[in-house]
Amino acid sequence: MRKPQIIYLCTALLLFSVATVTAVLQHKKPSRFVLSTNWTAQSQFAGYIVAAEEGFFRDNGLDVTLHFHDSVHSSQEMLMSGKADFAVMHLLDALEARSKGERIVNVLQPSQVSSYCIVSHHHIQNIDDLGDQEVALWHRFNPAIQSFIDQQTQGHVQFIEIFGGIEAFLAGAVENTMCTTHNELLQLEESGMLMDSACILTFPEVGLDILDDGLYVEEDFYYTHRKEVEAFVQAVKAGWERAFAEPDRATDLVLQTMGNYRLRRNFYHERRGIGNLQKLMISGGKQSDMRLKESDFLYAMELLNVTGHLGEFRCTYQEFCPNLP
Amino acid sequence: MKLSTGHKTFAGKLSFLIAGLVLIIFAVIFCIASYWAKVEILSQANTITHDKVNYYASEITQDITNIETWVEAYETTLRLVLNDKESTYKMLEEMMKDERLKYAFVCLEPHQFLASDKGVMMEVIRDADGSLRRNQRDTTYHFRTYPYYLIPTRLHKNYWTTPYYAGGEKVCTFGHPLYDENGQLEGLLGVDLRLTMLTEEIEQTDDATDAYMLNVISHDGHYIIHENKEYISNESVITDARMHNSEGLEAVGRSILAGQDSTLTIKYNGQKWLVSYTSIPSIGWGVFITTPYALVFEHVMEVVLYLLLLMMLMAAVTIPIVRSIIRLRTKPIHLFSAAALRIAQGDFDTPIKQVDTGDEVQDLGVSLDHMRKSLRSYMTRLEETTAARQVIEKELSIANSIQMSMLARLFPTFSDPYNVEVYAFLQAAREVGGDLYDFVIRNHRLYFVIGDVSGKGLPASMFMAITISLFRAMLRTETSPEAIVSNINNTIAANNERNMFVTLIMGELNLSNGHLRFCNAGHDPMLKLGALGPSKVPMASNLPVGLMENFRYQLNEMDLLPSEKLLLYTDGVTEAENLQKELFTYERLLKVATDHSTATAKQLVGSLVENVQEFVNDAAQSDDITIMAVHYNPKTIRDDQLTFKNSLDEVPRIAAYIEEICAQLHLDDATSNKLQLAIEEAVVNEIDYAYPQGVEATNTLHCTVLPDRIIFDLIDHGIAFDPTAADDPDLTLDGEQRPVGGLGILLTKKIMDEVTYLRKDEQNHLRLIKLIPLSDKENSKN
Repeated sequence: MRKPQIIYLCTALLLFSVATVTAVLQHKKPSRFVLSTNWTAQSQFAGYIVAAEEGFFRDNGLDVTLHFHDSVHSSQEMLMSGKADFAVMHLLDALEARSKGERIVNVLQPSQVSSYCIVSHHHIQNIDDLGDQEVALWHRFNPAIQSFIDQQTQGHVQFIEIFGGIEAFLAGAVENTMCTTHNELLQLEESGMLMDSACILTFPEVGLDILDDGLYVEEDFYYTHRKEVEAFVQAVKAGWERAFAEPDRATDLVLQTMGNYRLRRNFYHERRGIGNLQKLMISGGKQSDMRLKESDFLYAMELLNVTGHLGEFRCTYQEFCPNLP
Repeated sequence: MKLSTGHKTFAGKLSFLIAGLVLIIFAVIFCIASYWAKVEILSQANTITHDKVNYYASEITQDITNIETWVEAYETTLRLVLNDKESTYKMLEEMMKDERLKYAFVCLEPHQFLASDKGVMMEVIRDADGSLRRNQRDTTYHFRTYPYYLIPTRLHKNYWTTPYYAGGEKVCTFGHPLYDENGQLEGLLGVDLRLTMLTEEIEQTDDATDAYMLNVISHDGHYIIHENKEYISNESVITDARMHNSEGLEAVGRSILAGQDSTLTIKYNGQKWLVSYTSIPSIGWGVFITTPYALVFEHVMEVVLYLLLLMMLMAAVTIPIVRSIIRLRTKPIHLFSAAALRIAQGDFDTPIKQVDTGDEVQDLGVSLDHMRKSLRSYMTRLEETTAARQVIEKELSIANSIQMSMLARLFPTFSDPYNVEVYAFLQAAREVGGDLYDFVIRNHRLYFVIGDVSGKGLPASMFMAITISLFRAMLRTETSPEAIVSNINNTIAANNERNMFVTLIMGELNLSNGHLRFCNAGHDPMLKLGALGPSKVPMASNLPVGLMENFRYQLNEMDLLPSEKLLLYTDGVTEAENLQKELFTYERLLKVATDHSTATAKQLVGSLVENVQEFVNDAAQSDDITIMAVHYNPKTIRDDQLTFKNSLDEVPRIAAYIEEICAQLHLDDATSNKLQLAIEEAVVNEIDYAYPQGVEATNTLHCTVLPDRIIFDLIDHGIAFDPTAADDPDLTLDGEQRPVGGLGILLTKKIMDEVTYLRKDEQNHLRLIKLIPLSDKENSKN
């Protein structure tokens, strides 16, 4: 072999090696994350399910696994134990966790209105009307709200802890039960109960407008994975927008997910649930930007304070809700 | 004429009607039968399905009760072994021998038996491969919050949960709460019933599952048994109804959940369904079976179809038979029809075959034959009558010719050496009539008569002939109209046993001067058509001729001016009727006369005849019509005019015009001067009063000279002023006492023989007539 030919060959090999290394370095694997929800699969999490099933997470460079509530481990526990990177939590639960030293931050607040309500076998107009009665609350229901109800009724209310659902109420085992407007309230009506608005007390109408589900991450995670968090938030937003734009398709995806977990599933119910959730995500007459507003944050803090669940804990809105684009 | 054939025959039409009736009856029977069958089948289906649903409810209740009893039976044993975990599991495994169970479990309150301070839950699970597996839930599992535990322990009674997923299967949990002798809650013994097993077991109890679908719902409306396995546990009857827009199913669901039972017809998924339902009060479940309507009525529709085919077959057989029978029975009618046609064609000897059916057809044959004979007899008489009538008609025709020949037909015209045109028209309503007209010119005088005999036909025509004959006869000896009419009247009245009469007008017109003498015997007045249009001639109305002998008839007189016409008519004109029974009336006659006042006598009569005929149109003529017109138009000696302005400066020119006329007529000086004075007075009067001061206008003085008179027409366009209307001045007063004016017109009236005024076409017409005996020389000139 002549010398110039050897030079050409070496040069070609060198260039090929450089190109290969560059390609390998550029082709990073998607980041793997786990999202833990605070209840079993249902339309309440349609935005997350759509984002996962329609590939919005993947399109944002994320490999996300949805971990729905397994009736044993709460989303907060999942987040704090490191088994989940993102958690869907109630605002009060998140603040209480933070007050106990868990440094979690809110990165998304889809729900802008409380979906909670109490349904009774009797007419109720105020929380006071629950005095000397039993109210079925969900297992691990936020203690601040329980305290608030307790205060309003001068401690005359008795809370009955239920795992969930409406069966205890339907069977007459409890007089009053906690519901959400996008799930249990619809279930009651779909179980043949003739709904009387005078027997329903929604939280917003009694001034207890504490926001429900928000998306939370650990503070350290937020600052070390800011881009990923932003990508995650964008994917979830896109998921919700798609769910509202194509509710039938979203309902199918929700049902498919529920089927995977062998849960009772019903198209009519979940479809209506998505419709009601959309109403909860309207702020100021238009679809919200899914950010936690400072006023809602302060209101929740105040509730925690007046119910004695805040203690010495202090936290600013900016600390709890770091600015995302 | 052709006889009817095929379906147009009586038999064909009757067959068609009967066939239609039969089909309608069949259709009605078919509808009633179908409806009745439907109602009956539905009633039976209601009963059957209701029985069936009660049967299933009973079966399910029995199954459920068996399980409840099975579980309760273990309570005593359980209490003996609850302090020992192994024994407890063994007992649970013993319970799981019932393969319908997915789980058998026991939950213990804290510190009860072997339970710790957080309670305990032990369970035996049947895995997918059928093997049993023991499991104890850890403390993170809060069984006390679950419905299967919470509800029965709070309600203090056994409880079946709504369906849900457990261990990968759809189950309903039965919970039996455990209490110690003090009523203290110890825990709960429960089992999970596999819904697939329940479905299979129920379905095995009955083999007729193809006919209906069994559905069982829990007390929250969710399906426990459903044909679509995916619906079990997932769908509630309410969501199912709403997804399929079935208000009926939702009503059924609510009714079941309210503990009611019934049978309803609903719409679901675009189909009608029969739904029978009941509830199981002990556990709050509901059972309903749905049967497609189409299936319920499947056999009914078959029967109905067969019934329809049978009816159509019956109709197909019955109708031709009925048609044949009808044709056979109506065959004589066809023969009668043919015979009747031949009779109608004049063959009265055609034989009519009689039939012995003993019904209306036989009567028809007899009647037809009777009719044939009657017709033959009638035709014979008719021929004789017709022959006689033809003779009469011929005679009447001759009489008509004779009558017409009696009427004057040679009408004088102006081409004749007379100053008159006469034209007449007579049309009898029948072959002969009672109207008449006649005229004769003798000694430069026109004698005319028009009349209308009472009654019609031959008697009237004879009376008419007599009247005309008498008129002509009387003219030989008499010239005065009243004398002629009186003579005719006396002659007729003397021998008028039938009291017939004739109304007439008889006149004598002096063709030299237009003087008319006439006598009216009860006839319609005649019209005069002059320069001012038509007007009714005033006349004394006497009795008709023939009614009273020696009646004194009054004479009337008047003068006709050149170009004036007389129009005479009988009441057949004014009383001519059209099809709407309307009369032509005098008003229409007057309009025709007005429209044709300047026409010739022939044109006038022709126009009137044409108008009457157009009015009557196709209506039969009810009365004789006679019209006669006399047009007097003598030759004038002079006929010209002078136009002048309304200025006194024109008086000399007018005087010269009068003087020239007088000179032409060789009038003596006295007459000329008077005429000059009278005309000047009239003209000056007009100039003074006809126009407002300062208005210039042109006036006309028209002069017509006839053999015996001079006629001046003074015409102006001034304001309406009738000088003849003013009272004559009182000449007995002296000049100072008498009001100014009036003497001039008085003078004119005195000089002239006639002064008349008329306002026409916005003009004042003052006519001044002076009768002047002309010299023989001048007369001979004309």
